[in-house]
Amino acid sequence: MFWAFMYWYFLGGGAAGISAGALSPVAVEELSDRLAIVVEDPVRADAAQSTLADLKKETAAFDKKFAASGKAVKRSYRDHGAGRAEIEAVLEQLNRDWERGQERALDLRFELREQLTREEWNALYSVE
Amino acid sequence: MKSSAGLLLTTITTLVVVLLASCATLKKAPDPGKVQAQIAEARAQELELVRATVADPARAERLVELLAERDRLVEKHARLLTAHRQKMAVLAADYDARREDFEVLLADFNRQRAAAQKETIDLVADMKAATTADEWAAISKFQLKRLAPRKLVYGAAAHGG
Repeated sequence: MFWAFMYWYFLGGGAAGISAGALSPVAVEELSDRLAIVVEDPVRADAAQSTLADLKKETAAFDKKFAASGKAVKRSYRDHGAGRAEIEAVLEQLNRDWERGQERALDLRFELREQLTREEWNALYSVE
Repeated sequence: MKSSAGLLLTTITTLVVVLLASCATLKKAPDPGKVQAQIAEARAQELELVRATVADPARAERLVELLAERDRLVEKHARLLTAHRQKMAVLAADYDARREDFEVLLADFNRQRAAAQKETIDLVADMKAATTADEWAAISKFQLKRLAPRKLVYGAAAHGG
């Protein structure tokens, strides 16, 4: 449970942490599947899928940064001689990446919203 | 009525299960009952390991106290995280939600996370101070191996955290 805590809260939770679980790569894939059913207009459906593809790339890229930070934190945790400055430096960088990831995820969320009607949006989330 | 230790275990199990379910490579949520049993077993083994590894009984008891503090910390933040995830899910589904609504929620979450980071760094420093390098090597190895969420679910077949 300790590592669960460190991994998900202390570190931020990987790409899922960008939106606290709303935007993991798997969640984006599921949204994409549902979007294919909900949006009938092919032009808007393509545009929306393109936004989701960007979102998936974003979440996957953040997951890589997150995994690298996780390895650094593990090394520091294991090392009896490692001081707090070492772990703080890793977390500072991760926090900056994390906040940038949040901003980008929000940009794409609102881009997606602009591509859908209210009815489509509600249908997209009503199956959750 | 459940004991506080039982509630704590349930909260932590919920956190592990919920968060594992949103892992990038995991499509099926794990069985909470199974995870809870694995966590309880790992925690019991961790206490045994501490008492068997830390030579000085006073330091061993200090470390046991710190592990209990760790569990309280985990529980506190698990509750905050669960509440935050619920709020985010509601906001994400709301067509009329404004960007500022998300920003307020995320700023609050970021503050909580920063506080959690500080508390955890302090705790880790205290745990290291209560052990020798050799003792810490054995204990931290166990913690990182047996208390990793993916390991709790998949055992030795898991690939990283």
